[in-house]
Amino acid sequence: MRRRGERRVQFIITILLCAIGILFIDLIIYGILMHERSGVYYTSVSEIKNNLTINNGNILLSAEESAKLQDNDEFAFIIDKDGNTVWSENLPNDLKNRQYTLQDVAKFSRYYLKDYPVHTYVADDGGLLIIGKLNSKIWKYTLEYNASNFLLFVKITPLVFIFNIILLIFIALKLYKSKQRRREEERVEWIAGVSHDIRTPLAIILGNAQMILNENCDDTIKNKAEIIDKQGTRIRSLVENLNLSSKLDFGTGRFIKKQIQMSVFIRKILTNIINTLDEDMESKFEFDLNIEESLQGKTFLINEELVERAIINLINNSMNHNVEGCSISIELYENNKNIVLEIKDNGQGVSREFLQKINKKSYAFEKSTGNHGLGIKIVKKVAEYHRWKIEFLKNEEGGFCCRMKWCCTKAMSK
Amino acid sequence: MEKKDCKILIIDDERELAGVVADILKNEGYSNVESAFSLKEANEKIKKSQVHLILLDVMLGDGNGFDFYERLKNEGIFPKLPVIFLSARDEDESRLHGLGLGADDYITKPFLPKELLLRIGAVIRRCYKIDENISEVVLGESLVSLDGGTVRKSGEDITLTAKELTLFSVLYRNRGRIVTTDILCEELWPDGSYGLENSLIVHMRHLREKIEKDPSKPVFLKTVRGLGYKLERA
Repeated sequence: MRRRGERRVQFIITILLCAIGILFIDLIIYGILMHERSGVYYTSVSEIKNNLTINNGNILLSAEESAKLQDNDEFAFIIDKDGNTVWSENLPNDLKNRQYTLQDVAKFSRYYLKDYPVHTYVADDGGLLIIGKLNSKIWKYTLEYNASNFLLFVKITPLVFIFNIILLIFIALKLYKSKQRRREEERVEWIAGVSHDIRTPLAIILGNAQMILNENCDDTIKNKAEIIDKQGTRIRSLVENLNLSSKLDFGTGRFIKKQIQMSVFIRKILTNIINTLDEDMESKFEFDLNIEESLQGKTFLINEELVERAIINLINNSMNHNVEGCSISIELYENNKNIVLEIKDNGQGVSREFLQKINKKSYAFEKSTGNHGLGIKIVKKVAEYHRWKIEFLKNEEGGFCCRMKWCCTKAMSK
Repeated sequence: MEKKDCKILIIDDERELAGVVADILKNEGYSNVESAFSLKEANEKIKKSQVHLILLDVMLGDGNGFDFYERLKNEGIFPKLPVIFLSARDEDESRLHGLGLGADDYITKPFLPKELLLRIGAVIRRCYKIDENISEVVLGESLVSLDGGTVRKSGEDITLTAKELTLFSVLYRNRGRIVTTDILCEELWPDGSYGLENSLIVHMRHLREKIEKDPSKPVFLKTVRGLGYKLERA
């Protein structure tokens, strides 16, 4: 769980940085583009002024500058105080010989002069120097804006910015989750498929081994058949655990809880286990079941498949680790408004280190190690699934004990 | 009907698995066992002669066992033909699906041969109402007659009550295995009343008095504390 959480935080940070980065890059690109493209090039006033010479009251532009204006498709003219054109260069025909009134000036200084975009400058002698463009593919308007609106814009922008980032993260997370879920589903399906494919050959192996065991043949052959049978059975429980484990990890909602009479349920499971033991095993192990009288027939909301697997795993665990035999007991009782299900043995027990290890919350998600593999992990996951408290301990006799507790209020009496 | 008369058809495309199942069944006395390796073959065999029980795989080379079963039921040739699914799919859904269709049992591979035989036995008993055709059981010095409902012990005949006979039959069918108090109660009081364990204990004590030589030290009818009862194998 912890690792998954860490991964998620890491993922969110990455997305955040990406979002900021992307927006930042966007801004830069935008800025550069606007800067490059927005300006309209007009020949500068000073350039024209510097090339103007006044000769006997006649104004002359240098030939070089005149050519330049033509190249740029520009025209220029000067009007005096009375609105008369006193000089012009490259002037289009429809502007020739015109006199300009104050109204005209007011109009073209803001908008267009007969559809020609123009710039108006103050000339030295109280006249006006006008530079215009012959082509009119220029959009011109006067910018007027309420300053307070602009302030609001400045204020809102960061909020919009943050909102965008959040939106981006949300979408990314959604995508990530659905992808993750699909991948998990695929994994569950894959494991189910593999375990399905293992089952049939395993059934053939186990069936044949059992046939040999039932035949009258050499003891050494029988011993070998017994080994095949035992190991085959071991693979069988491994496959079942593996399948269940993957479903428990990823397939939420695959398990349905029902009201089950716990006493009847436990009796059935234990009886099934004892009934399938061979004589040798039956003589080695002793089973004891104690259910508090008040809990007989009481129902609890559980998933049968999971709880059965947990109980079987614990009993198998006790049997596998005490090959010489031991006594295994199951107890169901009430303690401080809690229902306690205890499965324990009086065998050799396990080391303190191992107990510490399996009592850790994260144990269920650690890597498997040899014999203490899936079995106990599934028990933990099953307890977690039912929101039971679970602890593993050394009991009075030094054996292994698993204690699962749940709140009594979840119980319903029949 | 006896075991050897009961014709069992195994339908599975895994020849070796069908072979092992057939061997297990033959060893147990079901001598009339046939195998079909495809649904087509199975169809022919079912139509040719009467079959009493089908062991049906779910995923076969030429089709789906569930569909085959439904078709079989719909055709109505053998409406009561018991079918046990034998499948490598253990998901709850497919188990429930199989049983929901009306199958008599659903066994997942890999199965324990013991378990397979027990379940087959249970289905045959339920569908053909046979008690393995054994009418008399020898328990040490006692002889229990299932037909007559009597016990002959040290020369005298003792009559068993109906409840005692039911108990004995259930235990006998599961000889060597523990039968839980819950199942015994269900057999005695099928209406599903609980908390009748005290009555069960009384019936059990009477039964024990009738069949055991020394009821305080039972040899055959054992109590398994906390779980139930067991009739030991002779």
